[in-house]
Amino acid sequence: MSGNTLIWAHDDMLGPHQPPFRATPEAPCVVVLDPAVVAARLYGLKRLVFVTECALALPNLRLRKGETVAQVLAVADELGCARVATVTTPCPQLSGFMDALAGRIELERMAPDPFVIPRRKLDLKRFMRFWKKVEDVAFLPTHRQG
Amino acid sequence: MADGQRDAADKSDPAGGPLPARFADRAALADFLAEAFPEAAARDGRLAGTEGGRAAAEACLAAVDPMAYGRTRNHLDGAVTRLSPYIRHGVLSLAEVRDRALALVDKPGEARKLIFELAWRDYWRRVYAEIGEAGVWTDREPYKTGWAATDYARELPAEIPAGETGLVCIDSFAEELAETGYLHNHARMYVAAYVVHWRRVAWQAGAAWFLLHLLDGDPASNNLSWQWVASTFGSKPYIWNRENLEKYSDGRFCRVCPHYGRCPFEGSYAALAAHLFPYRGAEA
Repeated sequence: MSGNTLIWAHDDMLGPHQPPFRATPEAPCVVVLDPAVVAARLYGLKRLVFVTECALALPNLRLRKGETVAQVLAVADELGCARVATVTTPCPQLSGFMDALAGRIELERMAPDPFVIPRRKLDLKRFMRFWKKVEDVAFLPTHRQG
Repeated sequence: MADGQRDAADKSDPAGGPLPARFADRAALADFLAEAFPEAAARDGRLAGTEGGRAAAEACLAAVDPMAYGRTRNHLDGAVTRLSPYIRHGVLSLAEVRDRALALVDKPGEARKLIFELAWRDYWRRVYAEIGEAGVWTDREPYKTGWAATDYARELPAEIPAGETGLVCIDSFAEELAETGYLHNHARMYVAAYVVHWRRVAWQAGAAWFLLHLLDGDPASNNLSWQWVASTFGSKPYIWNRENLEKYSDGRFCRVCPHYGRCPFEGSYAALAAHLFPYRGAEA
């Protein structure tokens, strides 16, 4: 990725070893404390403090409050960043923000580091069915997953 | 709040915009956030002792003992990892924790229990990705309790989160949850079963209560675990008895409970199931 990347670290990816930080370690990063997310996720003060402490430990941080998409775009504009990098999440609300951002700026959605790379088709009906499909690879360290 | 933070806060747009990226201490951060997010503070104004951030997560990871975890994890004082808030927010990845556990043992099987539990969290995330937000708040399957979904109250009785049921175990767990943002997994199962099966309250009400407090709360593992206890995402309801609680708590709740010997959790599993689920068919 080029040097004009802004990392948007949403609250499912508040660690400095997440893929966008490894790809562009010098890139600025933005974390948005979005009242809509806080409300949807039922955050109280102790959760909000924990989340913010995680954010404050990220490198090159810009911490913002407000509507996520508008704030990410505002920081990208301020810093002259032409692209935003983030990590995919199963959370529909955050994925919706990604869709909205993608229409306004170049967005790279990186996959999170996988726990397992399954070698067989998964069955999610029950945990034990899932486990039987992944047990062989779950005990392999990351460098032997692929 | 220190003057520096106060100035920064006063200059920030209350509707949105830049926030300070440094605070004098945790109390200053909490004061600032309580002011900036009054609705969150109104929902829950307490602070937890668990500190966020990568350094705190690494300290926690360094203390993991996979073999002790395997031997003692079901005990309320067992060698559990307390990594879940960091995993929940992506400060640590499941893969990173697994790799650390494997590095600490001679044979991968010695880390089996820990890796098995990490796999549960991966599983919940995959299910969440498949069924979405609405899906994790909806019964995945009918209750297998003999009761219809409409037999379960929609609201959580106020005395449960207030820690005023009179049952020392349940009240202690409710207080610990609110104070620390954490409950041992076994305690979560005890409380969830009490709410859903003993009080016949819909799991959604309990799940929302937990999400309000748990630092590791997420709709995937929290809600789907509640559904597992309820039997709406599992083949049978999870229940427990006083003997089980005493075993895994060294009796610390029961010893001081005025209901000891006649509490709602007394009896064999078969007797409790017959009492709680009188309309359920015979066990397969």
